Amino acid sequence: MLLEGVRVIEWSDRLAAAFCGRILADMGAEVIKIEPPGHGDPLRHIGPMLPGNGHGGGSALFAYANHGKRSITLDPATPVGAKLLMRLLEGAALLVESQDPATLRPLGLAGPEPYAGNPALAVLSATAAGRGSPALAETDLTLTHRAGYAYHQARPVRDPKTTAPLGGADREAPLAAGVAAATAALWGLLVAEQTGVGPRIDCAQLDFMAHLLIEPIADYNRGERAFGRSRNDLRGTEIAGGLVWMLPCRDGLVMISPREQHQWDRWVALLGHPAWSEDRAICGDREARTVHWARLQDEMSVWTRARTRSDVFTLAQAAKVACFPVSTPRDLLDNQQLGHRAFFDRLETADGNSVAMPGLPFVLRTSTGKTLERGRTVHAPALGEANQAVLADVLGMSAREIEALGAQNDV
Amino acid sequence: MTFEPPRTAPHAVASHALAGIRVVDFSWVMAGPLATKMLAAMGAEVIKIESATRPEHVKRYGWSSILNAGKLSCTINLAMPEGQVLLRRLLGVSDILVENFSAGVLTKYGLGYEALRSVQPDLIYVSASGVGREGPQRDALAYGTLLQAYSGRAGMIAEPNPQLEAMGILPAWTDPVTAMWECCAILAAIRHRRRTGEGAFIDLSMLESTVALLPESLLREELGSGGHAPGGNLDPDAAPGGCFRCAGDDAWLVLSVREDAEWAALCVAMQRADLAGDPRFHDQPARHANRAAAEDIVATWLRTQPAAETEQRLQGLGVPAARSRHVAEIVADPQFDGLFPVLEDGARTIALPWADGAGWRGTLRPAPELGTDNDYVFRTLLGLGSGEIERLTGAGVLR
Repeated sequence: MLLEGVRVIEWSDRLAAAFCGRILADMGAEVIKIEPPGHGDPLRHIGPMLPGNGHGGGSALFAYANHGKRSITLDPATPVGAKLLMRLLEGAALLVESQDPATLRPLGLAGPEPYAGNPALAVLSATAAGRGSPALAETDLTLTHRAGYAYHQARPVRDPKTTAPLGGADREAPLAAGVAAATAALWGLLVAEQTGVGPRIDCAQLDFMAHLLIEPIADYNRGERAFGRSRNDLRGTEIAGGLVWMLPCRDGLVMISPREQHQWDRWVALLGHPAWSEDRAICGDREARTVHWARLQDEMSVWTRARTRSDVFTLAQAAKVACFPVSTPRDLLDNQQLGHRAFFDRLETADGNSVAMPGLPFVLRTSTGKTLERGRTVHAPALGEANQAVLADVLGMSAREIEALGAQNDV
Repeated sequence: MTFEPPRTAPHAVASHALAGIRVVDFSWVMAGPLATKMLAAMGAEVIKIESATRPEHVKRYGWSSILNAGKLSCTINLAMPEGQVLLRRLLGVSDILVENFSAGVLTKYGLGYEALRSVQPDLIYVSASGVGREGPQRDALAYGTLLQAYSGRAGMIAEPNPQLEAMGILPAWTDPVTAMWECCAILAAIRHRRRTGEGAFIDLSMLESTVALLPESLLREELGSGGHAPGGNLDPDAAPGGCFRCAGDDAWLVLSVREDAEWAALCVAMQRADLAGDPRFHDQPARHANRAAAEDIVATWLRTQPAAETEQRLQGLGVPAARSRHVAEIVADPQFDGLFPVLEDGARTIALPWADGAGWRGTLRPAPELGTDNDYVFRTLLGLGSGEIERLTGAGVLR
């Protein structure tokens, strides 16, 4: 809907680039994914796998990052493959790629100048470390450490000698870099539509991760340079207690944050004004509560331990105290709020069932009432399933021309 | 005070993709301000609506100058009816409204989407909240730190602990990734508006913004496939892999071995030719089965190795490896030139996470002081005269 008429060519084996393409497809772009003939995108072979045999199954993660696209197999290293790609680019608004310069050069895509065959084409490089950077061996985990995010995610800690800097959760680093890439791509489209010239865009996962160092840069601006990780040296910077507590319940954990005085007052009222809550020395203000957080942790746990996460969450929120359970994946799949908002799409699997996967995180409704669909039924493209269709309706090739290409094994 | 229009940037065209777009920004804390900062970097005029009557606007945190670079600030007391009238007039000459108040605040002041849409159908109205503006939990009070827990993220990084150490609570994650989604949705809505003249209402959930990046854990749970999604320093595709301590006080190196060639190269680096023929490690399935043994060997070796030299040596041999570095090392690394520019006030800010072909990463000016742009907003945009401004200021409306 939003991106009607935008054709995107995606040529990459990186998860960030694939997710970028999927977001654009979600918003209405036509995304043509170019995969190597034979095995296709390496992500197709990474588990967990969907139920179903042979072509029916496939990687669930691949499906997540690629549903809604058209897959074609093409090898731009061959003369015919290169020609087809260049023809596709002539009619596209955006190329998303992560190829090395040696691969791009013969296609006229390596330099900063507009693409000769279509100057309005925006070209987005969604690479690990950025165009022009030395090619290093990287994984998502090494990038998160190289970018500094991992170090700061384990700071402060009681014992830096035994507590390693650490990476994030799940596939969030490449996927978040994909959101940044989609944003950069939209910027590129706006520039191209205004000026007629598509920009070259360099959106590296490494830069994206480093750009998240907001509080650390603020500390840097205050003059900090050593950035030790020991909690002893960083008193006053911890958020445990005072700001946030994590409390045990009968069936798991909750986190609460009665940080303002009025919130704290309502919180201890909910707990029934126990004797310790009347002691101003330990909980008279946020400072006292921070100093005595461990004692308060024990006292408050008495109340939360007797209840379920759901009860504590409901009661605290009813008292206008910010509180949420620490969710497990199962909790999220069953979450009422997410369910009500139709957050999960359903991917049909070969065995006739379907699996839920997250959709876009926003509801968007235009002033005339059109909405971006949520809770969709989605399909992952089989390798090369759109070969014929793309050559015919995008490039206008005849059945005979397509057949001739097939005979040469170029597509 | 006089209004100084934004200076012309060196890359005039690309840097003004959003030229002519005016954003009225009610957002505070982190996610909203970061999203509107990106819009400002792309050439939009972002006007922060603040008030000297609100302590959270008066007290400027260290990160607020980073998040508010490139914006204008004016002070209007939203709680006063005359303030609301002025805000409606300001919105009448603006294109985008961004807010992240608690549920119902702007509606209460006559500034909800439905009320504004009827008079200004092309308005893009962006409402970000903890769990979304619709649904049974829409009134839940939320902070970004708590959403790290509610999204499940905190439990996927490390064992949750009451000290909240090293489990993904800090630095902020939910806020900046929400900002990224927010900016993405806004740019798409701008394109749609330029083509059709239609406005849009965007209801963005911080919870969903975070969960959308955690699909593998959900899929594994649903499919009952066992195994682990990546989390913390676990890279399930690598064996050996992880973060290991090196020689020195607090030096760490992360590495991932996913292929035979990388294992062979690591054995060369460790000067352990004997391991190359060891059946426990002869291929990747064997190394996965004997992961603990392989990682013990790596840990023992790295404990006496200097991190920087070893990183370089492993990279030279094609083994994915990186030192864990803090922000001062990042700022000093030429790799990141342009990402943390120094503004005229001498402080570093954070530029756009992408660059154009000439290395441009957005145009930013120092964050405004409270009310710096009152004259521009009140006189130039709203056409108020001196007497009226004086009266409204005296009445507490413009402060």
